[in-house]
Amino acid sequence: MTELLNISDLTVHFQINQGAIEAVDHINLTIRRGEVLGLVGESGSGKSVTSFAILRLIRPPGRVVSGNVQFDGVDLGSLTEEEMRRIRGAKIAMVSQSPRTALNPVLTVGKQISRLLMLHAGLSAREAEKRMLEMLRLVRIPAPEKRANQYPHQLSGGMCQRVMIAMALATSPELLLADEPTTGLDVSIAAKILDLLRELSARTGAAIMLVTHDLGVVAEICDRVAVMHAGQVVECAPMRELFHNPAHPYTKALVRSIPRVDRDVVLEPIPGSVPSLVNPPPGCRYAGRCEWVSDRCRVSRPPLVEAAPGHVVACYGFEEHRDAN
Amino acid sequence: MSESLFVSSSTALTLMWQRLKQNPLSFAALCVIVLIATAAIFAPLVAPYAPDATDATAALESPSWRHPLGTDEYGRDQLSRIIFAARVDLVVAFAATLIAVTIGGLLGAILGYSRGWADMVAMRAVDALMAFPAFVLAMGITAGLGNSTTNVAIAISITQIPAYLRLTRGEMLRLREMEYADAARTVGNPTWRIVLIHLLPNCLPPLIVQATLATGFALLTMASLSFIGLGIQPPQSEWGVMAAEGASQIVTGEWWLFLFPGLAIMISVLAFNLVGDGLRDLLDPRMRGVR
Repeated sequence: MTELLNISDLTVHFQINQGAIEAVDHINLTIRRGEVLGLVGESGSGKSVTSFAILRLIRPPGRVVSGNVQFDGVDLGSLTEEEMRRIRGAKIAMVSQSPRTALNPVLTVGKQISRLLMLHAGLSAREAEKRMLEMLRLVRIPAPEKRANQYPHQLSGGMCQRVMIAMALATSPELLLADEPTTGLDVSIAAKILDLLRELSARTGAAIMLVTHDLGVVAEICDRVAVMHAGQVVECAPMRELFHNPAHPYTKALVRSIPRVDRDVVLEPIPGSVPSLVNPPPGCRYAGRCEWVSDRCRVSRPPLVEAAPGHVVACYGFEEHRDAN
Repeated sequence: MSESLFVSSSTALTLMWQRLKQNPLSFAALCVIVLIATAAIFAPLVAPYAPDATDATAALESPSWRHPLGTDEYGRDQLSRIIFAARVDLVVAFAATLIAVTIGGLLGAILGYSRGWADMVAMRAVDALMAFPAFVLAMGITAGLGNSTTNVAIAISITQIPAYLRLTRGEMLRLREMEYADAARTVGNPTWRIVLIHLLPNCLPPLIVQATLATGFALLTMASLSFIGLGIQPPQSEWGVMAAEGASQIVTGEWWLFLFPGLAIMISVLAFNLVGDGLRDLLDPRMRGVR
């Protein structure tokens, strides 16, 4: 598979009175064509900021300090705002985490989709409407003709999310940024939405970057997983590899904290919390919570190294703890 | 674009209409406005006499069956004059409101969305304008521009622009942070579309309330300007002008010449205020979720 998106050395700061919040700190990430990459991490670990940075939609007080995003061989940073605008929604689409509030309350859902088609695909009103109905059917909204004429408040949360997905996929984007697409939906609906995403991406060949804090969601649909902690990517591996052989202590802890019904284990919460991102310490940002911590971890930041083919991890201690689980 | 703007605002209006019917006082007030407007439009058919037809034999008659609201010193029928005067009064009040809503709403939307130094400067200008007594400002402008009907409308609208500007800007500051604004950005909408098509229609309900209340105030301002001789000029029939003419005759006992134009002003302003209050009640807070 060839690379579709390549993020290198991306850093995003948010300027506040007390200093700069280093929300995303020198991350490197690659998404291949057609794959589903999970971006996992706790709240505040920089997952959503990363997806906004890809679209170049970080607004003040936020600022992209360094880094470079290559999409389909093009450096997005070098585009003019007008060129960037034509990529948003057309080649890179986004499904946001709260479908209810991400839809405009004064426009019918059908209009919101057909507007987009007219904007990007240059369709006439009639063609756009036809394609809009097709999309609604594709995301399995029952009675699409009726639903298209309704306002977001008249639809359920799951229905709104389907509309969002229909909207995101309407222009056949090459990359879909799904920011916690199942948050706030109940489990059975969430599972259906995930199936739908997987199926549609397979059908259209779109790659998906799935931002989530839920490892269950990751296990469901992702090919590869990147784990973020405090603005840094600490581990990146194929999905099965990550679940079976997590290398980073944080990933191990995350995996251990998944409730299981088949084994009688006591859930272990991860001690401590994400460190303050305002002027964080120079070393590993997980050092304060880590059971393997050594002096080296506190002074210098561990680089991403290969733990196995296709599996990278940023930890000084993973070699010696390789077999400990 | 214009078509979809119309569709989205018309649904909000339908909802407002349904709710308004449940509030008897506001509904009655709305009926009064419609009644006055209809009478004004069909004035030549409704009014029993021509507004400036003099009749020397019937000067200064008190209210009677022939002249229900009496006559003035030239024998002009008061009722007919009041009905014809509604044309000027309503047209100026609506025009002034429309100009002010359009300019204030658009500027407020742009400034609120863009923020930055232009917004800072404009808001300080608005503060200054609002600190200045509106009526004195309107007096100054009509005195400066000359007192034609158009100029009176312009003067009144200038005094009202700051209120709409501030209201829309405030709403915009809130709306620009909403997720659907983010969503509109993530799908690559140009800024003008985000402001005009996605966000501005969401400001409409509070703007409509403000506009309704302000129409009553515009009417009052205009009558006051005319009363002190700066607005509409006699012999044009206008409520403020008529009240001014009638005021001098209270001492000689012709009370109807002052009372009825005054009542016309009071009833219309009250009606606009009641409708505005009713709209505000039903928009806040229940309307939010339903819209």
